[in-house]
Amino acid sequence: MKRCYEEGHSLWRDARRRLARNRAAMGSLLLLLLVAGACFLLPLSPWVANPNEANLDNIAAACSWEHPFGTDQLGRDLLARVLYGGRISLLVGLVATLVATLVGLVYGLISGYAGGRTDALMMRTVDVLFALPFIVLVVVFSLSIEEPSRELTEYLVAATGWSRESVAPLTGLLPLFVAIGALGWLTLARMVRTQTLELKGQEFVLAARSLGLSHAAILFRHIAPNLLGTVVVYTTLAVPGMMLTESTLSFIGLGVRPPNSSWGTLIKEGADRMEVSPELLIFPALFFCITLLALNFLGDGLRDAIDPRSAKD
Amino acid sequence: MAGLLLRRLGQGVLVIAVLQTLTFFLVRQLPGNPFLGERKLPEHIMAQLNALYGLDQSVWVQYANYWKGILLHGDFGPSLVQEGVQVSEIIAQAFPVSLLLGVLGMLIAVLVGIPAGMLAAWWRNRWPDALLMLAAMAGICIPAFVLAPVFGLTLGQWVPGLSVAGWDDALCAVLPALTLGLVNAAYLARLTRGGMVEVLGSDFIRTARAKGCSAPRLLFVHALRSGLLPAVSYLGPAFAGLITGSFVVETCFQVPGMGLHFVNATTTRDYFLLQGLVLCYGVLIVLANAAVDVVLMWLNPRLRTAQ
Amino acid sequence: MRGVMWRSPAWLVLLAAAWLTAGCGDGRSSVQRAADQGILVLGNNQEPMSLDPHKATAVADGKIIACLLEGLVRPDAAVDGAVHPGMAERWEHNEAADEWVFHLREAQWSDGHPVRAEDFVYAYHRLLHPQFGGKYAEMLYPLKNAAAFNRGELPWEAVGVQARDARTLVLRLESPMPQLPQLLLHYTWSPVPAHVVESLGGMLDRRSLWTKLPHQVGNGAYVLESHRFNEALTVRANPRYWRAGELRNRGVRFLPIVNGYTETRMFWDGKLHITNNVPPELLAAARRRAPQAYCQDAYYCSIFYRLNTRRPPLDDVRVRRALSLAIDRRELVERVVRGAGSPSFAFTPPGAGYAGVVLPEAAQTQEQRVAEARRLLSEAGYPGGKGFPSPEIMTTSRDVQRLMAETIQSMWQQVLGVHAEIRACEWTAYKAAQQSGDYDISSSSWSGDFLDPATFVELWRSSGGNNCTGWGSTECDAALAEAAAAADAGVRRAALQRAEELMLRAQPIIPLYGSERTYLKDPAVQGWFPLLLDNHPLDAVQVGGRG
Repeated sequence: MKRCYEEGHSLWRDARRRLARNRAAMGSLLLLLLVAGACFLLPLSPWVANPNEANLDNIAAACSWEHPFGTDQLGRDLLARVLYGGRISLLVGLVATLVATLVGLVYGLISGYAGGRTDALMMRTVDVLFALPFIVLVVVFSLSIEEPSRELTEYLVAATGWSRESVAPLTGLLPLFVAIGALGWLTLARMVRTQTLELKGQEFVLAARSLGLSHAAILFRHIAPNLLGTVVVYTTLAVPGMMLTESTLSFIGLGVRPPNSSWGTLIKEGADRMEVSPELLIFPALFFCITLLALNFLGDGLRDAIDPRSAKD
Repeated sequence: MAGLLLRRLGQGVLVIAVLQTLTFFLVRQLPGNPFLGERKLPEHIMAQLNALYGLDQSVWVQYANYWKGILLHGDFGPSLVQEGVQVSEIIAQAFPVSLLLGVLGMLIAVLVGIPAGMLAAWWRNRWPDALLMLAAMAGICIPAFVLAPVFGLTLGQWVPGLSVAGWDDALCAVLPALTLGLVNAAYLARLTRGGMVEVLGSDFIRTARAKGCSAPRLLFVHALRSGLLPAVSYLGPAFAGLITGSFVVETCFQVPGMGLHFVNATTTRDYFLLQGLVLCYGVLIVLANAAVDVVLMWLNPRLRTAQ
Repeated sequence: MRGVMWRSPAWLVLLAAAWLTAGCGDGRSSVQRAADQGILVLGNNQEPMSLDPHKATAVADGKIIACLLEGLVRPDAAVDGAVHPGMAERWEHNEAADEWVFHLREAQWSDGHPVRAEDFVYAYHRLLHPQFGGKYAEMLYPLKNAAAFNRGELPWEAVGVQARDARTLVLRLESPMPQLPQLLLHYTWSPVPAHVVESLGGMLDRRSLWTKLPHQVGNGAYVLESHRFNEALTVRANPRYWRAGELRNRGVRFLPIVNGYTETRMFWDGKLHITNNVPPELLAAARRRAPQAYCQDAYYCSIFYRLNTRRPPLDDVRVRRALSLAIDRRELVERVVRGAGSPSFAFTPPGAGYAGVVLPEAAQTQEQRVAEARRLLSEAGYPGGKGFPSPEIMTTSRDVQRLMAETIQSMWQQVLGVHAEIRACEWTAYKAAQQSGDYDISSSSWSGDFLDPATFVELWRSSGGNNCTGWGSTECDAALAEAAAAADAGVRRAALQRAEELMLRAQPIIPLYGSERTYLKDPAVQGWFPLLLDNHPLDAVQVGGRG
């Protein structure tokens, strides 16, 4: 019934070929690269203004050649803020995706596959973590890693010679990453576990087992590929949530530090001003939505490409 | 089945106990205490207050007392910020409100999200699919703190009978429930589509289709059962989250639910209130997840043997 | 699944039906309906923490307590600082103004018991009791030996309050206080119904139910009618109030609306008579949309930055002055706060006949100030900001505070070449850090409890709990002591002014602006006038056509 007995790498090679044929996915990939390139490279060019330089004589200005997206409530160039904010948000998105996928997938797989007591213990742990008040956890985390992250800043400043202003925004994100790492994978772990439970009773797993394959081989070669659909769908769902969580946290002093921006904080600030200057909301939201939409199509394409069942389509 | 449920119940009690313990010690790690005011209290008054509520004792004694209060007297303690008000009193007022909103929101989410996901899967990679998934992604990308004021400013002002905010008339629940519902509907639609696509591509559906099975029968009878697995797994915790309230939706629509208490109790260090709210949430999570597992087993008999 | 789907049209039909009945009921807004019942609907910022005058500390609490309890005196509806007889019919004081005798009128609690002088004595005893933990006990410290009793050093009998008979209350003070009636307007000086408090757990029971339904008893213009957390608190006219006939409405509903955007939207939708606050971004639009509803009143509140003078480089007065002078306050107020304030170089806002301190820089142009700031900074050893360690500006998570910090950070960078970090803190963490002195620069505000400059200047006593800057000077302390001992109002003001000037010249704070309250008021509301303390007697407010 299942055909995934081929060698691992051939599965991936097939997948790559199928992905390259998927026009929507490739377009999305291009778009994502474009957005990421714009966020990381464009600010290095002289055309993008300093995102943190206030100009109180030019508050909430309309779009112009000098300020393509206009200016914000302190007269700062909105384009620059969106681009710089993109760096933070893309980074958060990347970390969130990696953590959710790796931790959630492995945890769920093991829990579902092991079953019995182990499963119960692992899933009840998830329940506990799920119900813990998120803000409390994050604040406590950030307090305990405040010192290490400060030391890291100092170390980076000393080791690389970068200015403190350019290092601090990144090391300041450390508590946030820890928080995402700690809690971002819970829902996915539950979903993966349910599906693993279902899959492990199926014939192909029994067959693999009777062939004498090791548990690890069964788990990662035979069960995991069947779960990629769920993982991809869930990840594209969870990433926007995490990016927005970042904005909530930066308002209590965690995450990105003012005056630096992220898409989340820009959208939050824009939402407060939507009645008076909607463009403050529209531009960052546009970038945010386009990126996530592209991510979504890419994810779907990836899933179709990897899914062993679509192999014969 | 009954044995399984009983075992889950036992585990649930354990989960709650661990949760309460962790919360108890975590919140005391937060800087500050519940009596900090905008103005600094003289030290002797701070000491008096700590003594009055037993916060001057060691954490372990406080911990023991907390459990003693609950187990012996059913007393969840006083609010340390709204002094003279019991935690149980606050939750008793806020919970029904959040429950109403949560149930309405979930109803909207399920009625919109699951059919949308099914339709998208049925017409996979054709225009209805693209359209529906575009809408779903929009729903996921547009956060509640944008959606809620937009609803307030548009529907709230234009539609007769609806109000922009407030909890004072028959229809005041409509907009907050709609906001909560649509955000979750988007998630459900994506998950349902994902699950259904998986199932519709599988061999037994091909077989059924080849045998000339009608489309609705195929969708509802054969595919839905396993196609709903991801959506149902999501539903449990989401439902628990919904009925414990949402800070954003509550402050935007001036709803007296649990979400505002949750945030306030945290930022003001109202230890006992936060503890009570976490307890409430924890019980719901445990129940919801247990319910989800039961529903999953009903949907998919294979899980029963696997357990 | 199919069953649920079947039910969906039925649910929609039900919804539509409910919609129509509600929508067609009457086309009037909820404020109009409330006005017909004579109810004033008021935005009150947050859920009150307590209605007990001995436990309350929030502004939102004070507004409700003022409805439920009446002190010896009551405020005027229109004139700042004017005091009317309340529970006291008349009063006199000795020449030194440190012994006051109040003659109470014949008045009743809302349960019919007479209001006696003992109720005042009982109330003060309770708030000051060493075992009660009254957060605002300091408000009563002007009473002789009150502080010592509160700390458990002296017995109650030593405290300067006495009921000479059922209707005569004698207050003996630590020092002369010609301004006492201003202080008495604060709710901490209200009486409490001793018989009710005693019957519900006694004096020291902090969890007492006496301010909750159905037990609540008061002597104010209103009694509690209903209260649901985070939803609404309603008070209705108290028929036993001594001025019951003069009330111009039948009740007040307080809505604890935290979110200023929500509150403003609710006002436009006809859900409130008076809002609490319009967020800065909405000010211009609100002014345009309804100039007759828009209100902007001076407020007895000062916005400033505390500087931690214990930490370098802020331990150098030249650095502190440079940082202060480099801030363009006019720009800050106009562009960031959107005009809801008045730029200031002094700490105490104008009012209460206090001339205030005028520093030379107030008359300079910004260019002159900037030049002076640069000179001071290089004198301190940081020419052009070189080598300046980046201090951290601590703010709460509030939007305005964050924007202000970002602006000031940018101004310092542009003018002085000095870099500052910003740390946005969650509310309690912010308070904890400020009060324990664990900050560099703290975005702060201070609002007066009563209409007198002492409520501001006293802050800078070197031992003052709210000083928090680590700064103190013996001269300033001496000037404050002289003010406290002065029986003559003129001498007192001069001493306070001297103390404030000493403080400002040492610059442990950066004064920024005097805050102004911006809110919306239904034009049909009458009897509401701008008041510096925002302590409007709500019984004088009339809604709709009748009183």
